[in-house]
Amino acid sequence: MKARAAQGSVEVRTVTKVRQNRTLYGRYRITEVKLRHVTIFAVTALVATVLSGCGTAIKVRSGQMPDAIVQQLPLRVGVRFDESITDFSYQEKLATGGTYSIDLDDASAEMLTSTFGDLFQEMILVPPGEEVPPVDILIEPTLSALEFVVPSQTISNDYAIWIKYQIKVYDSTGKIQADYLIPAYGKAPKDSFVGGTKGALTQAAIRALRDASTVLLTRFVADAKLEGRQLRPVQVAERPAPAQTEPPNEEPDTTSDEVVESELSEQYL
Amino acid sequence: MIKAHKQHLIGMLAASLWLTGCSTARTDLVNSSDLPDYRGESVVVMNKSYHAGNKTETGFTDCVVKSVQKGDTGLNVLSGDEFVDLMYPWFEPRTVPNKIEDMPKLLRNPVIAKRMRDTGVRYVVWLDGSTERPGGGGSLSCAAGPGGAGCFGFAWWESDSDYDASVWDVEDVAEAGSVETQVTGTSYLPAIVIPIPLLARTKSTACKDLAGRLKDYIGNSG
Repeated sequence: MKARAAQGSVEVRTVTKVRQNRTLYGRYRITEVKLRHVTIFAVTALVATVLSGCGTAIKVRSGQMPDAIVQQLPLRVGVRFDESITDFSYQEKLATGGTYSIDLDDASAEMLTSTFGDLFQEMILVPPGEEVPPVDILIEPTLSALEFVVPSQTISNDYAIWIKYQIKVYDSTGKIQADYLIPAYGKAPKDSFVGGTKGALTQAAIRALRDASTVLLTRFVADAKLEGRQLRPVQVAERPAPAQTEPPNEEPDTTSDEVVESELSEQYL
Repeated sequence: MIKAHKQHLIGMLAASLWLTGCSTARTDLVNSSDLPDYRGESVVVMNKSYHAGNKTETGFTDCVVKSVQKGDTGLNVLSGDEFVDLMYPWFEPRTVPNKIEDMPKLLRNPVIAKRMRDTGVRYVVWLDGSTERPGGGGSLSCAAGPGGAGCFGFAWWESDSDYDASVWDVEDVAEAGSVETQVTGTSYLPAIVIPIPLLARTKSTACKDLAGRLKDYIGNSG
């Protein structure tokens, strides 16, 4: 392209190569446009082109999770997050074209904090490396896998995301009680959300987070094998030390157990 | 001046042709039963779960919601998202009852039953179906160069919009009825320099048709 500035106008000559080795020549005039404007436009277009070539990057916030309609379990739980929960991102270059970057940041932590807060009567977040306070159970979730598909891979209209969490549950003595996987799935059509590709991919991720929360809220007791445990109401004011919570020679409080079992059966329908 | 008039004429012609599609609609009201009076309770319109393979477009659902709210006989509609949040986590894609027979089990939980009553929702309308493009043909090519741009050719495609709506009466815990709409149409796109779309707006027709039936059905029955 050859450009020549004139007073208040720009004359542009173009040479456009098209298929079959044909070449088109053209010339047009833009009146009352200064060369400076053309330069700004060209630079902006170039920057936009370069940026769009960088691929699709989203940052996900789980946002405000709704209050769950579940019977709270009468447990004091400790929850310890590792880095996969508090700062997670994933990037993949697809064979079908394009690089996708999904930054969950601490969206998993937000979701799990809300979920466990709804599920248990008392929840204590335990920072990594710190001593665990007296609790009935300690939960350590990790994000073990994230996968996604885009419409170009599946010849469909949808973006879909799978997130897999590993949940480890320890009892009050530190012995592992359960270790299981929670698969979560979210899907969103490409043309239904503001923001196009980014909007749909973000929505799919949010739906997957919400699905994980749903699994925990509706299946945690069964999955964590808590149903057979002698769950007792939390007594925060006069809480005994963990070693004294279940004295071997003490008779279990059957009245409390019956209440808990009744609540659990209600919750899990 | 003449050029401007020509442009207006072409624009009006294109707009009028745009509106004229070639489509046919068929609506069936099936499994109807006597409904009690609609006393102003809320209706919630939602897509069936994608976990069950449903592909109903969000835009179609929005269209139905807007259409059933319109007019003097418009229904009092609670947003689907709001309802799902209020009932969380029991109407999520993974947990939502797929058939009315699952509802009594859900409502046996007194807390869930109370929340359902508190929402004021009497009818839940479940949308299922989608718009597909089963066939098409023709050839159309466009080119742009420094001297201008233009298209030439002819293309056509078929559209099938097939939707159904199941109406659940939450108070009676029973399926009140269902409405089905099938709209088929063929769109044409001739182009001599300017492409002139002759679109069969099957989805829009299906939306208005289904919403009208739902409004009559829920609002006037009993």
